[in-house]
Amino acid sequence: MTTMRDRFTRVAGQLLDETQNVALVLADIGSSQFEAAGVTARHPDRVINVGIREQLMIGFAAGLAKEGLRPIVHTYTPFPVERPFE
Amino acid sequence: MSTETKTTGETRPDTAGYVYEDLSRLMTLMTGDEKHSFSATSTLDVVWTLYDRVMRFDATKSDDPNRYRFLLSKWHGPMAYYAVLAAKGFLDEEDLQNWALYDSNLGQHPDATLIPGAEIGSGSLGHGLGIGVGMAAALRLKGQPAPRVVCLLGDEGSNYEALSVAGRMGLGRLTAIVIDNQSASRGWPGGIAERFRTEGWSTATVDGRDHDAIEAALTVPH
Repeated sequence: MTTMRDRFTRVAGQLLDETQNVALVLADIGSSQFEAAGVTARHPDRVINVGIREQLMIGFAAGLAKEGLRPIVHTYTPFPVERPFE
Repeated sequence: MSTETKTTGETRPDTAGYVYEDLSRLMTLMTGDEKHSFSATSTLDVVWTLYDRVMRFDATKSDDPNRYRFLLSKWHGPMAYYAVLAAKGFLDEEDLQNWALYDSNLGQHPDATLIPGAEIGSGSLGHGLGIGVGMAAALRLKGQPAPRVVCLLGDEGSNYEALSVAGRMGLGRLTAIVIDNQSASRGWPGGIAERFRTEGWSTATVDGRDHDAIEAALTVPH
């Protein structure tokens, strides 16, 4: 059975393959699954792990978006929901 | 619903005649922000020197991809920033007179969608540097080495995450200017510059009123 995590890894990887302005911003969580799937190796400049820094993660993604990229921010539920409120 | 557009930037008379001494007159066109006036004054010399001697910009084309990006992450007391924007042709003196009035595009906390030349809006402090890190990373990723990203910030603690990752990523086109007006409780033992140096930044500490020293610090090769 495909888990939600597996599916997300596959689809996000595909988006990175197909669309040049998509980026993935991580804060450690999820980084190992993208490495294992080869996504990080294929797109080392567009898979960005900022470390355990969820405040920065959101601002960083905002900066990427301001410069025309389409960032996907991935982490556990409370962070991508609540950090952007600031 | 009406659409707000940044119309005040496109047709500018030549404002090359403004000098530093004009800025206090421009600031007095704006009234009523006594609470923030101290922090506004502490940014005036830095913002002026930046726009007069360091920044690359075109006031008639505020989205030029090669422009230097300036992020004011210290939005309290924006009068100094508005005054410099007027002196450099992004705004009119009439815009300054209407500052903070009901219909004005210029608010007590600036709205970047309404102000030509402003890259970000802010309200909560301490977010600009993180955005600047993302912008600098994007410019490098896109192969645009020319623009610099300059972020003016106060000494709020939430900048820590941004300054450490910027150092690890080696974002040489990102510059952070920290105004230390000693308003943060508990202080910074060892000094603010040392925090940046530890994280891999080149640093300089200068008198915030000395325009030559500010320019030198901002243009030194590193």
